[in-house]
Order: sequence, then structure tokens, then C-alpha cells
Amino acid sequence: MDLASVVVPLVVLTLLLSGTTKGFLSAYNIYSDFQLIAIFIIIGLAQMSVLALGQMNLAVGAIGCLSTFAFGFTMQELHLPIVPVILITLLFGVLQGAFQGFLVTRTRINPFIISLALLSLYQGIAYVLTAGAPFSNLTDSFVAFGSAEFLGLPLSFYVSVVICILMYILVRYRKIGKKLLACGANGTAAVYSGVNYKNTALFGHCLSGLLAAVAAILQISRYGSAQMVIGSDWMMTSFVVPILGGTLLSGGKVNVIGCFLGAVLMVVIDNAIVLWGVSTYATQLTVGIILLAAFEIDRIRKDMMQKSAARSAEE
Amino acid sequence: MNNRIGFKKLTKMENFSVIVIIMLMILVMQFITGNYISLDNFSVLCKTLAIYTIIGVSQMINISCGGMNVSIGATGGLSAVIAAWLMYSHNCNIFLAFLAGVAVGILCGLLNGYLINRIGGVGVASFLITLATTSIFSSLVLIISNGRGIATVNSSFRAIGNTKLFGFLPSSAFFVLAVLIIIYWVYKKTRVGRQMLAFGANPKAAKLYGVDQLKILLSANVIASILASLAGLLLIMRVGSAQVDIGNDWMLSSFAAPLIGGTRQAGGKVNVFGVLLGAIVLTLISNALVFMGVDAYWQELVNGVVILVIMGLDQLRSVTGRNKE
Repeated sequence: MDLASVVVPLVVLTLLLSGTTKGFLSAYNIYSDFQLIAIFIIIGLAQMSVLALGQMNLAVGAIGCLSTFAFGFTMQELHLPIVPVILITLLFGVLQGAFQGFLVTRTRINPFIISLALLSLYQGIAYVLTAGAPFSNLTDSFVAFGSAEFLGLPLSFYVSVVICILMYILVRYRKIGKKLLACGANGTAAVYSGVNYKNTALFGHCLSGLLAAVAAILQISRYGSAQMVIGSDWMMTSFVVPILGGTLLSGGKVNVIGCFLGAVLMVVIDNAIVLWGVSTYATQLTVGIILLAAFEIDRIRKDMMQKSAARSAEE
Repeated sequence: MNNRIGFKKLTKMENFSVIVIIMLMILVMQFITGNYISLDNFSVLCKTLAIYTIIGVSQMINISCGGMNVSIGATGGLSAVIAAWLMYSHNCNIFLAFLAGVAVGILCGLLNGYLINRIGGVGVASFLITLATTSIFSSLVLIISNGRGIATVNSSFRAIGNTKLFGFLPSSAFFVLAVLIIIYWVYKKTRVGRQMLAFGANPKAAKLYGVDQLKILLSANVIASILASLAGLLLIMRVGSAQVDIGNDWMLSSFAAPLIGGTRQAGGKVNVFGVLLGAIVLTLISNALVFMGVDAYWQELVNGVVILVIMGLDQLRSVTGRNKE
């Protein structure tokens, strides 16, 4: 029921696109769409884990950018094998998230300003260290992973599905996930019921950083090189995907499956703009309008929730 | 004895630490370059300062009523590109083009204000709405200018931006002065100014006292967006072309200037002339980086660090101040 607002447009658009264009159902198009979907899902989840707290992470893209640097540097300059490279990159993401979480929970600086300043800081560090130059000498096996397929779909998509399942379990069945949502729904109430707010918030930011690093790795595998532009256009995506999927902006309610579908819808819309030959300048315009529409849906959904709560209270 | 009390008063002054930082920075630069304190350099600094101050005041207005505006750069860019496009493609009178630019700002502000009110008006609403409108506005910039920007701006329009009074005071300084005085007056003397502060300090209480949320959001967003377009127009007056990336780097600076200058992060308290001090800090930093010949990449990094450090110090000061009391 909750997901009708994303499923209906998704089905309609998919049918329209398969009817009106030849390219949409081609193996190549499907493959590249799913590559993009994989990345969008993870970016959305990265934002979602902070939205669950009722906070936001503007630095998702910047964490992706600096993690890209970590990946490129350790692989190309230090010649480390793939597993340590990935572990170091993930650790880098966690550290950046942890730093943000630390500042948010332990200082009284406005969380928005912290996130905004870190966006500049992380991106600044990545650009100062590389002068904007990409790392293009990546290991062959990693580049091969980026274009590998299984049953016609990219491997990166399966990775993102696994991560979705893990996130679902975390949010649904693990203690820490419930604490995260409790803090977002009502911080004071959570503290009174024995939740350590600071540590929980710190965890949310670390998780966000970790997922941003995962998204960066998937993006690098798609490009076949560690480019410093990675992350620069993530901010909108990171908000649109979870919001389309039914994550409440005020915190306390997330929807992993919705996030997944939101990412698919985003990619299909992007794809439609290209296939229908609409000006590429209009892409951003469409994204903006989708976001506004998503807010409207969010508003209606909240209204409905309040009404049904009031009704059950009366009974 | 008397002197010590005087000094204590001075250190307690709201912007004391910022003023000290500014003086130190100027002295250090004078020491390094030897000819930093000169009229020529002053007028160069003034032009950058004008933009920082105006976008800072614009953001301050949004912060004052508990919101924020991340579309400030996109609004400025859209106004600039539309004004330049009218002059270039339609031979529009420069005065009319300027007014059209301001009108674009008003429209952007109305749209933001209305939508923010619609999804709740407080908290993250302003961020999320302006995030969405940012991509709409900046997309319009690309569509109108065909992705290339407007390369030339009417020469008499450019002349306004490059006129210097008494040989050193650029025209933009007057714009800034006018903006500061008007906004100061709005907050000190007018009803809407006081209502904005009341709404920022406590939206629920303000509404109970009869403050109309929609009216406050509309007026704050319209005034702020007019200032954003003014900044965009001043920029094309000075540079002589309307590039598509105008305003892309305004977001952090627009928050930094008022917050460094003593505007309260959570709303409800402003310091109009403090924005000027904050803008001076930002101008000196960017100028110093240019002088030292470091990469443009450093600017972002340094800005991020500076805002965190200054905000952190500010918090420390207010905490220790409270403990003493």
C-alpha cells in the first residue's frame, strides 16, 4: 500500500518505454540500467541510514569522492591486492562518517553546518591530493568485474541486492536498527527507554559513510577508473531515492524495499529522458520536479498516518 | 582598574574574536606581501566582498526565521543569465534587464516560500524544497543559455559594475551599504522583521501570538531571493559575462558569512553588520590563497576547516560564558 506511489509510475513508465522505444529492452540498455540502479540504491541507503535518525548527510557525495581517492591511491600507487584495497576504502568511508557523527553528537555545532563544511572539506582534500586527475591504472581483474555479468545483469547489481537484504535485516531484526529508528521517531523518548542516543547517532553516520564508500567502489567499477567527479552529483539522488521509497523525512520510519524501487524508478526516468530524446539539460529539471512530487506524496502519506492513528485512538 | 574593565567589555563584545582575526590576517598579509594595505588592493577586495556580503545577508534572512536556502546560488545564476540573455538576444534596455533579473528573484522566492509552507514550514522543509528548486533553477539556466552561458554583457551595464568613485570605491560598495542599512532597518523597525525573528526563535509560540506562517515564509524567501539575484547581477556587471556556473560555489560561503558574524544558527537572532565581518574573513582567505598561488582546490578545503573551527570556538565561548554566569 505504502509503495503504490512508486510502483504505479514505475509500471506505467516501463510499459510506455517498452512500447514507444526500441532500445529500452535491448540487452545493452538493461545491463547499463542495472549498473546504475545498483549505485543509486546504495547512495539512497547511505542517506536513508541518517534520515532514519531524523538527520541528514550532505557529505554522502564527498565521502564517495574521498573514498574514490583512497581506492585509486591504494590500488595504483601502493599496488595492494584487491581485497585490502576494498577494505581500506570501506574503512575510509566509515572513518569519514564517524568523524561527522562525532562532530554532530559531541559538539553543539548545527548538524547541517557540520555536514556542509565536511562536504567542502572531504572534497577539498580529494582534489588537493590528486589535482583532479583520475587513477586509471586499475587491476585488470577489478575492471573485468565492472563489466562482468550473470544472467544478463551486472555483478554490481547482485552486490547491491545483498546489501539491501543486509540492511533489511539490520533495520527489521537487529537491536541497533530499532534503536536507530527509535532515536529518529522521538529522541527524548528513546533516551528515557535506555537507548544511548549519542552512540546510536554515531552508528548511523558510520553506516552512512560505509555505504557511501561501497557506492564509490561500484561507481569506480562502472567507469573502470577512479575519477574524482564521482560523488559530485549524488546529493539529489541520495534524497530522492529514499523519499520516493517511503522513508519519512522527519525520521523514525525507513523502507529498504521502497529505497530499492525508488532507485529503479529514478533510473527508468533518467533512461526515458535519454531514449525519448529530451534535452539533457532537462534531466536536472525532471529530478527537481520528481523530488517536489515526492514531498507532496510524503505529505499525503503523513496525513494518512495521522488520520489512521487518530481513528484507532478513538476506537 | 578602569582600563581593565574597558578591556573586559571589549573582549565580551559579540564580534571581538572575529575583529581580532581580521586584523591579524591583514597584518600577516601586509608582512608577507609588503604592499597589502593599498587603495588598489582595497578596491579589488571590495568587489569580492560585495558578493560575499550580499549572499551572506540573503542567507541570514532565511536562518533568522529558522530556515535555510540552498538554492541561493541557482537563484543568483538564473537572474544573471536571464538579465544577460534579455540584453544580448533582445537588445533590452539595461534598466529593464536589471528589473527583470530582480523579478526572477521575486518569483523564485515566492515559489520557495509557498512550497516550504506547503510541506510543513519548519525544520528540514526549507532545505528539502530549496534542494529541489536548485535543480529546477540551474536546469533553467542551462536551457535558456543553451548550456553555454551568455558570453557578453551590454557594455554600459558592465560600466556600472566597473565604475569607481574617488578612484577607489567600487560601485558595488554602495549596493552593499544600501542592502545592509535596509535590512538592518527591516529587523529593527518593521513588524515583519520582528515577526521573522519571533518565528525563528519559536515557531509554535509565534503562531499562537498570531504570526502568519505563510506570510513570514513568503516575505523571508522573497527578500532573500531578491538579494541572491542582486548578487548575481552585480557579478555579471563586474565580470562582463554570464557563465552557467554562477552561484555554484555560494552555498558554504553564504552560511559562513552570517554564522561567523554572530547570527544564531537556530534562528531568532541576527547580526546584520556582523555579516560584513564574516564576509571580510572569507574575502581575506580567498585573497590570501590567490596571493600564495595555491591551487583553487585549496579554497574549498580551507573554507570547510575555517567554518568548523570558528563555529566550534563560538560554541566553546558560549558554553564557558554560561558556566561562568
